[in-house]
Amino acid sequence: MSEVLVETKNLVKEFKIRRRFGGGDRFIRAVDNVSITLREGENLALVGESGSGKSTLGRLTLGLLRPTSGNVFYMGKDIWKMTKEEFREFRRNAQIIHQDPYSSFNPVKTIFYSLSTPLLHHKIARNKREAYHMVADLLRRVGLEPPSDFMNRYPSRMSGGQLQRIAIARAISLRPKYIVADEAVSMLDASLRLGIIDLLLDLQKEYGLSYLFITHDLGITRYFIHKGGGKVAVMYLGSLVELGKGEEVIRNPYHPYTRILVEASPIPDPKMAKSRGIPKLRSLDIPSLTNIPPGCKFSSRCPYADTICEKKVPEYRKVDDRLVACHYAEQFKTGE
Amino acid sequence: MESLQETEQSNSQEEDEIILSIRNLTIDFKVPRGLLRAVDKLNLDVYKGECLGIVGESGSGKSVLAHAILRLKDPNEIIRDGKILFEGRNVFEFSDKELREYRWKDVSIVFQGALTSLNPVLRVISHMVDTAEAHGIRDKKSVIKKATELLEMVRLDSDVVLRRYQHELSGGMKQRVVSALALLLDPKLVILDEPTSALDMLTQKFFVKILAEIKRKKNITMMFITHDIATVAEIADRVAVMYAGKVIEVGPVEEIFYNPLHPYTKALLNSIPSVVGDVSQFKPIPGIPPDPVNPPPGCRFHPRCPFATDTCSKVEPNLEKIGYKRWISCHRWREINHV
Amino acid sequence: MKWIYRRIIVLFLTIWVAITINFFLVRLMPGNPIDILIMQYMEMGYSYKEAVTAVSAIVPFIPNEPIWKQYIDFILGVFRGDLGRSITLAVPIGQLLAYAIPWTVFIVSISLIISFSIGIVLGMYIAYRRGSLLDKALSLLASVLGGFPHYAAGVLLALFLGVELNLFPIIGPYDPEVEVGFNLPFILSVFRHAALPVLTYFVTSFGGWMLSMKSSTASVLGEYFVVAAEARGLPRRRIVLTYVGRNAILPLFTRLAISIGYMFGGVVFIENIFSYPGIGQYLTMSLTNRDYPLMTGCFLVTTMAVVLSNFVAELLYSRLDPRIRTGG
Repeated sequence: MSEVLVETKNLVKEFKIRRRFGGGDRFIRAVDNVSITLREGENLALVGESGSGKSTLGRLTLGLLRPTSGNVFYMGKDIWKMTKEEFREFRRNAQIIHQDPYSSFNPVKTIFYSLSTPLLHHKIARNKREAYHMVADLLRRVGLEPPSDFMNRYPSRMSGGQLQRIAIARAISLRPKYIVADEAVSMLDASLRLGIIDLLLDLQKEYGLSYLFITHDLGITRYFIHKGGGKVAVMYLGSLVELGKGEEVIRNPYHPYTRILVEASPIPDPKMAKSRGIPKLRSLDIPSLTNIPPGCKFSSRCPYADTICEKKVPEYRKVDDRLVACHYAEQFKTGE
Repeated sequence: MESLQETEQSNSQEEDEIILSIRNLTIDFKVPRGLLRAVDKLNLDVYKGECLGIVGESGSGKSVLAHAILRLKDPNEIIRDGKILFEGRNVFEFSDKELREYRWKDVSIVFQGALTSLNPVLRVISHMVDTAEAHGIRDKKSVIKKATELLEMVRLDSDVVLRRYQHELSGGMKQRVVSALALLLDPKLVILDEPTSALDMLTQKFFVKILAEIKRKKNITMMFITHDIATVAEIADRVAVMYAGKVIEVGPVEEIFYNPLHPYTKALLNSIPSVVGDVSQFKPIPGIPPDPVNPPPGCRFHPRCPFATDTCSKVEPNLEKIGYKRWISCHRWREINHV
Repeated sequence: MKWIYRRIIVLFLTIWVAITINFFLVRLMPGNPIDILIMQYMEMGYSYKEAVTAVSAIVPFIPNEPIWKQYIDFILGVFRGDLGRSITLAVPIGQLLAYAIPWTVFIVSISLIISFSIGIVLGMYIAYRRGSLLDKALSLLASVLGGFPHYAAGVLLALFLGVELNLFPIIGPYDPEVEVGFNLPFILSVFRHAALPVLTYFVTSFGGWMLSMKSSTASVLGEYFVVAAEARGLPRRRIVLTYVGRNAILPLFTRLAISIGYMFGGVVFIENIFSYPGIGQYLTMSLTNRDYPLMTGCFLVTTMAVVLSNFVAELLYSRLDPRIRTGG
């Protein structure tokens, strides 16, 4: 088995919310005791609704946020105990692709400028001429041909799909080992999404990258994992509720939350879609992060919850080779 | 399955009664680069009592179309040609007074920006009362009664919600309030412009189910505009697929999903992976969406179409009627589908 | 409503810090006015001791005591309302301020109300007609006038409207020949004398309000709730006032309240040009004559005005905007 590249141990991130009028400061737990591992060349798809903490977790693993407690390890080293030199090296190796490509580029700089600056800064290219050739190669690699057409363009003059390809080119330009793709295809047109995923997976084969693929879309997750392999982790209100290998997690979920997510995902089949009822939820509204139910966080909405669920925080149970944070994971699996 | 039969029945009862008909609609936008053709010689009919799903990717002109139906004009918009007939009357020829009466009483809309379509300094109740008053209903009590009834229909507690301000409601609640507001005057047609895209997955699902229920109960006509073709499967009776400002295929929902004829519709359906079905069949559509300032000549889809010929790149196909409530705009649909 | 107590505490702290800085800054500066005052007395033939006694009668502390003691005496004086006596006018400061404040409040409030309301109306109007000739003309005018310093505008207006056309009096708060009191000639005279100071402020500042309102309105016009109101067939009047107007004006209200405070300091030039007996007039007098107690008094008033108006702004905003009212 390949080596562990990124690992988090009991990671917690709390944010302070200041209230302008009335009340003192309060804390919300965006990421609550999350432990994940990602091996070299492998994928982890992180699924959750907005407010699930999936993006915060992604940022924590990149060292963009400092954890409240717990650790993030990169190649076995705690990133917050690294020397300055090591940390810089880690940051070069860990890159991110954002959801909105338009806001991730400086609008008044050309594509060439945005792509060549990091190359020159990290001395991967010795001079502008060399950088020019490298940028051209990168553009070709992400399917933008001929490269000269794109070099001197400004971000506003490109379509979302093209710009996202450029964002990918920038992410791989420093030859990183680890990339966080944070909703990287969500803002794109449906017809372009799979193309971007295919590109990501091609690059993975070529460079041996590892992806933390963050998304709210289960269909997209399925496609990504089916083609690229890896694990699926489902988050709810900052906690990991289910973690397992491959698309099985989606095809056959063991946690009630995952199951409801799957049931709620739109199906492009009118007969099937119309025959499905409203998801059985005790409460439709997601509890606010400032007001999380005690016990199992999902208990306020879970159709199967009982008094144990409302009182006791579920531990992770190993069901088959899956981790499930539910008191009734085993029964649930067998369909009771 | 009961609900399905019901909708089918109501369809056949009011078979070919057209409520809204759009003819040759062409709309340009002034943008820094030049003129952007948002809607291009578009033709479309909406039948009474149906839910027509309108599917298109960004830039396909679907929102512009929605705004045009209510004659909500953007300052940079130029209407070049065409007409919109509501029950036979051309919307573009309405006087100011007729227009104000037409809006919301005949056609109402739930905007894409539904989460910001309530005035932040007014309570929900004021929005309801304002709207009724604008249409000559002065009896506050009856307005509140009606609002209560509608809010219950979207599963909201009116005692609480009516007194609230916009910022005191969650996204899903706002969306439902705005929808109840859209139904306040019992409009003949409700346009829903991307009503679910700002919502969470579970809320989305719930909202669509509620809409379907309302449609069944009230038998209103709906236009459900979305970029997400899968959502349409759940609620629409008929689907119109848009590409580059044009309608390229229209048909009953089962026809569109089980027997799509246009290469773009086929490709689109194949590019959206879902939680069911064989995942290996999904593949992206090659190429990039057309630039609306400089659209390709001929069939707008030809640069991305695997079946394109010379004719496709030169001659624009017409939207031709090929069956019951079914249209297509493709030179080669017969050959491709072995008809 | 706990935050209101917190705000009030902060309010007093701010005032305290301001007067403390004021006290020490002046005392520690080279050319310390108190020492100079003592020196002046000594030059007049007083002994040092006598000079100190004489100065102690003017300022609310004893100048040859340690500075912290002086400071405590000063602060206690402030709380008692005893700010000492003016050196130049030999009158208690409190009395002077009590006379000056109403005049300043009078022209400040009239100026602000007029320039704010006209600015708002024009701003909204041109926001609806963005790009029109009127918009371009008014925006240009506003930028040009906004760049005009008060004194230049004041002098020009005084020359043109006061001297050339002889429309308005250019000196003093009222005609010295009318009988002071609640009678029509006096009130008319007061307003006629206020005309030029108010006009000076109006000319230089309505453009600022107009441009702010224009941009605020323009951004509200882009909001979905305005389009939604239109789609619901609401009457234009209702949309303009309650949907656009109320939301556009909200951020400006805060600025309005804050402006009241800043204008207390800002009217210095205007009051000088028109010899208007407000705070500004006394402030200049104190500075030119090294009248230390008077200067302290004037500073105290402007500081309080700024701090209080900020406080009022915050209160006002929380009243007007439901989003803040509920503390969300």
